[in-house]
Amino acid sequence: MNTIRYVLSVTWKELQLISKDRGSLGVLFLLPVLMGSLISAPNLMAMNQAADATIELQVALVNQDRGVFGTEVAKALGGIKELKVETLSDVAQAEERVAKGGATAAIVFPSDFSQKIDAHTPTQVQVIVDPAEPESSSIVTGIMNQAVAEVAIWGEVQYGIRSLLDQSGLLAGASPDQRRAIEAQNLGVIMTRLNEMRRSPVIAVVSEDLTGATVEENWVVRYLAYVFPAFAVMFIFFIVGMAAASLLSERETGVLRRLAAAPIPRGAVIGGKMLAYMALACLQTIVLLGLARSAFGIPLGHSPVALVALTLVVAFTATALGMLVAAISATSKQADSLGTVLGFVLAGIGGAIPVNPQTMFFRAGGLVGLLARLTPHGHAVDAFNRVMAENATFMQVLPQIGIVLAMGIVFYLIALWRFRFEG
Amino acid sequence: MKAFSVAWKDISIFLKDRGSVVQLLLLPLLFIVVMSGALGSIGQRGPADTRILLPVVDLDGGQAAQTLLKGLETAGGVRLKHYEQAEALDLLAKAELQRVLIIPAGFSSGLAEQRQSTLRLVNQPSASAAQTEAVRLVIDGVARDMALEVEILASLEQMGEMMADAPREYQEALSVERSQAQARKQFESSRTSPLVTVKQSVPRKADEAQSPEITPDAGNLAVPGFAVLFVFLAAQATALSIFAEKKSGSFRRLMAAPIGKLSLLFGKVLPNFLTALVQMAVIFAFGSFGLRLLGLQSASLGKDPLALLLAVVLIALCSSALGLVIAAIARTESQASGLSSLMLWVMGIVGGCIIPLFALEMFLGPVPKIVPHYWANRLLDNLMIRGLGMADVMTEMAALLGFTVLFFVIGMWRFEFE
Repeated sequence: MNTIRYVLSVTWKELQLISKDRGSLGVLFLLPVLMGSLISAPNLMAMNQAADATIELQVALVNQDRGVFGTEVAKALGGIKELKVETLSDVAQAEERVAKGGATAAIVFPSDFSQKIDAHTPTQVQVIVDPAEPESSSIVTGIMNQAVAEVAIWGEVQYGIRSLLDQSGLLAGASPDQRRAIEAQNLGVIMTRLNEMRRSPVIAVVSEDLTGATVEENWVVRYLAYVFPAFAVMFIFFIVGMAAASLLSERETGVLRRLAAAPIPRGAVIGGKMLAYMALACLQTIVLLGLARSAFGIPLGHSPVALVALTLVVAFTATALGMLVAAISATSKQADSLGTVLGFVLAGIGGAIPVNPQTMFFRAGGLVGLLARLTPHGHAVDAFNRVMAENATFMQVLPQIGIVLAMGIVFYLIALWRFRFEG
Repeated sequence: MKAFSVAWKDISIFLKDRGSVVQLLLLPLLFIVVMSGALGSIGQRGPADTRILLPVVDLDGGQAAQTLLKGLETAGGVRLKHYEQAEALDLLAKAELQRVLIIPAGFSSGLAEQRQSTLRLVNQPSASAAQTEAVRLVIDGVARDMALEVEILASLEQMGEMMADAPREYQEALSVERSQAQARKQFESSRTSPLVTVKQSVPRKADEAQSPEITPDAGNLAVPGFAVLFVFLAAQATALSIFAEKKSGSFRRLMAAPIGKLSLLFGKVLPNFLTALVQMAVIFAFGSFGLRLLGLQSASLGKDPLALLLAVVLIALCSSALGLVIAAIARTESQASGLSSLMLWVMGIVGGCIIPLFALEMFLGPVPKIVPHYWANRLLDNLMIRGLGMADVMTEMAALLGFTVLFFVIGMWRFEFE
């Protein structure tokens, strides 16, 4: 009973000290909140407001074609909300605009664009993109691919009709106007039929889960259900340096020696410190996941038990790693630096720096996946993501919880063995 | 001279702190490796195969299924592997496969009769949502093209029916058989020689006759972005060094020594400036040579080495001046370490070091422009990625110089020596 009281006393004292360190609290709480928000907001805006696009990419358009196809595509591009089209007359001017970062891309229709389509000769639309904006460039190129696909269909059908009529010799004596009128009439009929059919395509693609239920894939929300727990785990492990430095600075100032002389078990001192940092880690997770849910509508899954267990286990393991760092460091400054470096390196390898969906290394195969699964971060973020995005139950993530806990116990035992109260 | 002695002493202390050396020099490289996708290529022999594995169960085995599979192979982005249905579903249930494409029995005959067929992409719950979306888009694209062919043939058939009342010579000229044969001929030719294509290129340089067809590489952007982020993070070191000296009383002792205040400050700021220069040299060397060793496209250092050198010096100066401001404003250790760290990270993120500026500007508007990181990023992007020269980056250089002067003025004005 006394030991518990001692542990809680040390915890309370440590929490008071932590609460005064506003700088570190800012790093532990505000930084992940800001980073999570800055990554989430553009993704959510792009997803929620697709109809009322907020992305507006500056595009320079040079239409050297005077024919119908160039004119029609240029007109269609002007109506696309994602593009802010500026029409220029000179290719070099448009290219220079892109080269200097004044436009995301320049779209150039060659002077013989319509003529070549009419003659059924392959032609090319040039999209000159800004190498410093690969994401925006791929959006513009994607839009252009769709736009030219429509033109290509039109051109192919037109050519087909003309070929058939020419082969039949029906229009041998017809004037150019009569030819055009007959071709246009047939083209209009076919394109009307075709567009009606394309509304209900003959090949459908459905994405479904193992039960056969259609997956209403919202990968943005699933990605964000990775972003927030990843930042939570990454910043929980920033406690490593803080906890280690705190313990060692007490040793450097002689506080630990005095405590060792007091009738308090040494384990209670370590335990009290660990409990304080565990509480801090839990609070970090609550704040970050709370923000994810309330401000960004990110699902938290159906298993609060799994979330609580994961949070506690990750908090324990981070704190135990902090004790281990304290045990192997000579000074508090060294422990602080080592803790910070470990925090970044483990987060990087474990897939807890969620700048894009490709950094989910714990789901990858090969050496990358293996390395990620050697870190507590990899297992922890994977488990959080499974619970939040895939509604995994406690039992389904129990293996990951067990692995993270086992790592924590190993760190703790090594720390106990190596730590010296007297430096 | 005295200032150099102060600086040398600080550099000696810094070099002994291996943790800080690792933080400032190796962490940026770690970030670049993670963000550029280099991690994915580690341990692979030869060029990395980045295509997503797409297991396929072909229950049809007909001509249309073969066309679909050939289309998927040609479309790129996915690597096909054939499975029997039972085996695939078993591996899927065990999470040993992430997803399976099932081509239904009767797919080919259904298409021939213009009946709707459904391709099922069955996903493991743990499959990466982004990869699933990418795979679905590839299948969608190939299926859409195949469907289009069927739909065109059907449209021609309908048109043939509509011509029942037309003169006989027209009916013969545009008969279903003739028009469908013509369409099939065109389908074949459009596969090898599409009528309209999009050619993506990047702006040509002065010595290039044509715009080079290069796909912009997001990995290359990581090099200037993280160089800027970490060079500015080093600003904290100046503040912490001054704060530690004030706390231990050695700053006061230095004040009593025969050394001018300006020399003293210069001596404290100089190590940060030199560290920033070394940081950028290490990062750029890694970008040029290290990324290539990892099998990635190396980062370009641009076409104007003099402008790049000047940019590096300006960014290092700006970071040092910012360090002076932090040292002047911070009143407690917590402010000098934690809060300044927070501020520098936020400035880095807002300034486009991690998140692309176009995405940030979507909801932050002109806000990024108020941090020096924004101008430093633009400066390095313009020189290294866009390949521009000195004359084209005057605005960015002027903005950075402006920030530097402003920071020095604020730092000197607010600095309390006692």
